[in-house]
Amino acid sequence: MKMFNKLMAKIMLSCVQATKLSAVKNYRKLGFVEKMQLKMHLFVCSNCKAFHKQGHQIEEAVHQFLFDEKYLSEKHLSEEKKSKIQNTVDQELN
Amino acid sequence: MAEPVKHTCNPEQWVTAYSDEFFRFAMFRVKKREVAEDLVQDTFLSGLGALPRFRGDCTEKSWLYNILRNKIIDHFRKKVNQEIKKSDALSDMDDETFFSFFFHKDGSKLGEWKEDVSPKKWELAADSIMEKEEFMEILHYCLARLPEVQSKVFSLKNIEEFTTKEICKELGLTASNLWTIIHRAKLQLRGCLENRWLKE
Repeated sequence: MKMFNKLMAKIMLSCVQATKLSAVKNYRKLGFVEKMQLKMHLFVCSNCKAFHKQGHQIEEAVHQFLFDEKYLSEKHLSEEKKSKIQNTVDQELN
Repeated sequence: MAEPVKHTCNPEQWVTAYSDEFFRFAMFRVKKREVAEDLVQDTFLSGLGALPRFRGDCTEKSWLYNILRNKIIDHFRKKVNQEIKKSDALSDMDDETFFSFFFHKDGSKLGEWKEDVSPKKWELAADSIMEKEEFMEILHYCLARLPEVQSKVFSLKNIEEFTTKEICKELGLTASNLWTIIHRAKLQLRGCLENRWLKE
């Protein structure tokens, strides 16, 4: 039994490891073994399963957020700053 | 045979013609007004310095855009190198402390989620616009609380569509650094979102 547990501990990911694979999944391809290990872990761990699902939702939301004009707080240079820059440019030209 | 078009260059008009557009381009990427303003200014000044080299085979606008793009990349590169050099980079907490906030670091539950911070169910109605608005507001708040290097990673990935290799190259990170940054960011972001979302 102890041998079995030891073996399982070696095969099964910890939640730290599983969340890491889940997080980097969007940035690199997981290897075959990693994919299997993650799948197995998500099967038995409801916490990491929730983390994984929420991770997808977050990546999508972040993508939307970055492209949503509404969340860009500023759209113009201030008139003041514009004049300042224009003055600097004019100075350089002359 | 037609002569290739030689594009002209009118520096006196640059600010009037391009400054707002360049500002939006920069602002989109760096998310900070002051930084974006400086980048625009530096672009024009660099442009002035490089005028003798402008050959007119592209428009002055695309020529200036190139300068702006490079300045933005330089900006990303500069601060990340500084951040990484500090021993307490990656948001003030070393990895061990950070992860032990979320996971047991010893005992029989070694490596498992700590109960009080373990993920709860989010009831996100797929079609509710109101909820989506709220969620985005909370996301905005939580994103602002991430270490800057993480915002840069998100930016480079989503806006510039850099590959992981390119991201590492631009930010001076090893792949290993990057995985840790992403891992920590996901944990932090998810936690922050959940705290605020479930309070509703």
